[in-house]
Amino acid sequence: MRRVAAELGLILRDARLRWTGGVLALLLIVAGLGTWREAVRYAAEVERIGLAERARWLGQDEKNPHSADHFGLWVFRPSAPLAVLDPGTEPYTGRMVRVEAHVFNDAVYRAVQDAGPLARAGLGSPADIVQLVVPLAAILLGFAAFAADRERGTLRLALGNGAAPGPLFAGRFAALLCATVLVVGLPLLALGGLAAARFGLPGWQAWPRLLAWVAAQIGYAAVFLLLAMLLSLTARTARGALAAALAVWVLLCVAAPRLAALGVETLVPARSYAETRARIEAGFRAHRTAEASDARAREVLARYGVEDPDALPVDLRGLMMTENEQHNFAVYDREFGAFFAGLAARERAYGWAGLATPRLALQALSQILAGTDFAQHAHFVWTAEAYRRGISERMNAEIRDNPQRGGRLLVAGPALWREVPPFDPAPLPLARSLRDARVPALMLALWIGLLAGAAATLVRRLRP
Amino acid sequence: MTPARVRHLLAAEIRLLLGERLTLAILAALLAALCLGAYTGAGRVAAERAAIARAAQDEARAVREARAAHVRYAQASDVKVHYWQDPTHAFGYMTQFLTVHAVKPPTPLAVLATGQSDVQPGLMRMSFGFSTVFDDTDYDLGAVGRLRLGAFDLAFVLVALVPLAVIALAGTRLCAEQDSGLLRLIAAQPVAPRRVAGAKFGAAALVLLAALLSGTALALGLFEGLGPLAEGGGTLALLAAALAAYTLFWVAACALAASLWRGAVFALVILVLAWACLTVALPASLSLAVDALAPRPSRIAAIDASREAQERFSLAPEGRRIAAAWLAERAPQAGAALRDAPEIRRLARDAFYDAAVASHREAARLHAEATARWSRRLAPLSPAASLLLALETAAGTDAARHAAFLAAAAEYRRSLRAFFEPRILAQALHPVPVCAGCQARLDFDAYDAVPAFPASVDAEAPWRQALLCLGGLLASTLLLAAAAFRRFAAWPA
Repeated sequence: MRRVAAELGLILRDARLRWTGGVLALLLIVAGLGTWREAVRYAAEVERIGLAERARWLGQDEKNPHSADHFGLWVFRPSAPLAVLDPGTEPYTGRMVRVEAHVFNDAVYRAVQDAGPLARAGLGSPADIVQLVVPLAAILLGFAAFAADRERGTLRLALGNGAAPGPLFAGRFAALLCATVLVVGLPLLALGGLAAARFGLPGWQAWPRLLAWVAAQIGYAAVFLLLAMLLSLTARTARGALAAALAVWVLLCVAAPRLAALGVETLVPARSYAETRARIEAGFRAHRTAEASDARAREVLARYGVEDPDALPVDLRGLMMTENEQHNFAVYDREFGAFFAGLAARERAYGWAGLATPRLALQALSQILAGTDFAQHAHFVWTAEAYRRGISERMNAEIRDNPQRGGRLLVAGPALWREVPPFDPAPLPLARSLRDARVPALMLALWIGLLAGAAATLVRRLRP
Repeated sequence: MTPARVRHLLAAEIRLLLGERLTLAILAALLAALCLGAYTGAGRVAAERAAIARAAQDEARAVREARAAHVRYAQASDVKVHYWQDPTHAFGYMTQFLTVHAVKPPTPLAVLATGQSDVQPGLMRMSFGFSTVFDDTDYDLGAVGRLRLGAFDLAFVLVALVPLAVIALAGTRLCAEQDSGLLRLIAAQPVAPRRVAGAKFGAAALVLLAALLSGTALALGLFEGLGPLAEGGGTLALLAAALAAYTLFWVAACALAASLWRGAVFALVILVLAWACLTVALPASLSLAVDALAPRPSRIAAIDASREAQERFSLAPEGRRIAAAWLAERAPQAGAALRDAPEIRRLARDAFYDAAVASHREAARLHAEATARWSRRLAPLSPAASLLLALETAAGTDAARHAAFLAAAAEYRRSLRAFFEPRILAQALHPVPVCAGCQARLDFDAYDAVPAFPASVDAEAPWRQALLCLGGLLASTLLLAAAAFRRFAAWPA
């Protein structure tokens, strides 16, 4: 511990840390303010329109339940509390769903659509900064760990004085990691703590998520610290160590992630949204012609053994709408089920792609822990669809169970509207997120393990 | 030193550079990256063209099936045909069967940059009604992970990776000699530092330019073919010049870093930080500035307005009053009973709804235009953003083209409504008699007369943007080169 404290003291006096820490803190604060402002605005808007939509639903005048089903409402996906740190998939997926009769509407209006072309430069959130800039900071802190001493001749002096290379490496690494925690971990923890306190609802389990999230970011920084020190162990000069570390940074943080993403898309094909919609349309087309509808009406009459719809114990229109919706639900389940399963498989593959670059491992892990991953989006879309189906089924059942004779139209009122509960989507629990996080966490751990193993081997062979 | 000696020095430096294994490795990696970028671009363009072809097939299918229904329903039958099942009825066809799209076709140089095309729809099916607050709802999620990172396309290679290749190749020229002590020996020769620096960085520039321009041409030729590229020949030539200027900008930056005489470590750190600032941090900051200069209108507020309109119309007396007013304005001679007809109520409802959300749609249109305008104005502050914008504009995947596309789509929707509305109204006022026993309306068969979307490609914008980019890059390069030239006046002490 004394060695770590001494090394830490040296690092804290180093101008490099002050500069690196200052720039990082500034970047994190600027990015955090941007995401915070967006989160506050969105949360306020969602709360306001959520209440307005509920009031509109309950305030409908008396009408046929099917008209009420068409009147429908809009539902909105609440943002995850830790989206302030890592918006993850949220800006790229719609968060607003129109709930109405017959149609499984997708979540629409993605934040990225309204952002300018420069917004995708890659530093829009604290998570982006951690993924791209923190490795650079770690390299700048760690590249000189041994190479500079070797160049100056002080490494020979230290080893000659009996300093064991292993503890020397461990001490320097521990000190650098402490410094990283100081300049990266603490600001993230502070920002995340504010977000958890301001936006954290019970279902999110924001605090344990935050701790796990910050730990993952530190783990990622540790990968690059190890990498920089590893290169520093082998390079003859600090210049060589820095050049090699920067080259590795370019490869792992800039080029490889996009290459790996390309590989994932090639290896894990997923059905397109347009194709899915076309299949759904094709599934409905034959079913909704006048002839098909007439045949189904005849089949219902035959089933009940009557010829006149007025002789049915149920309302023919209501019953047919109920059965129609069951057909539609089955088509939606089949086609959208395959669509979302394909995309989920692709997102899972990103976790494995973490083997190619730790940035992808962290990206996947970070958004899962923040609750902004694709699984949360899919969960919301299906929750909204379940809510829509609940409304449709209740409205259709009301018509079906109250047969109107002689062409009269059933009229329902507020008592029926109140039977529909408010939309209250719950996020996927932390336990599920932790399950999903296993692969990317394993990949990140693998990087740390491999680099630590390589460092242990090289430290044993350390020459001044 | 005579010009012949300068040429000799330059040739020697080029030979030295090409003799290094690192140079060959970097150039090979760059060529591979360029080919991969062109390959992904070509794949994206092919997918876009396929999607447009599928949409056209779907449109043809809808018309074919409507015609078949026309034939089928023109015979007596006891099968009841509701309006939502009836493509022979102008109203039924417009609201249930109409399959038309607004299309943003790929430009001849689309292969260059993915731009906004992976997050903005290039194909939108037109529809009417309460669910359509804005048109741009169609999108393909693809892989969100990839959307976050961005595509590995030619623009990424040219804008982000090329400077890194330049830094790797030229970033330690002279600094390495300074660190190794060789610079003292060079300085002892009767040669001015400007000549030496000129030869060293000139050689790097020539090698890089030759490799980059030929590599890009090769990659484009391999994966896109020269046919489509020839259509955008003028723009392509300007872009090649801009790319050359961009490469020279980074070579000049390397020279400037070397002229500080602080050694290779310092030069590398400065150059990589400059790269991070100019290609990542500065564009991100400019994005914040664009956000501040063109504040986003709220989509949720627009949804709220649309719902208020829907709520008002759904209240029986209010809905009836709105429908009556709409009908009175268009057909004063119509009877009071007609205002309760489903088609009249629907048309009145849609008109009322469109009026209610018009200001929000206009705000969104203005925002899209303002975002594109400010991005165009601010991009020259970052050489990387400037080149990227030029490439995206040439590819037709830029924000300005998308804003124009959205405006054209909104206009197209209006033209569709203007096409159907008089036909629906005329039929409601004077129903065409159909055959005895026929259940369908049989009042509409002008399927081929339905307006088609006037897809367009702006031929001016790409070369204008490329020219602007070239001018900006040349100015920045000259500035950096002049600063380096000044500092190379003397050898370090």
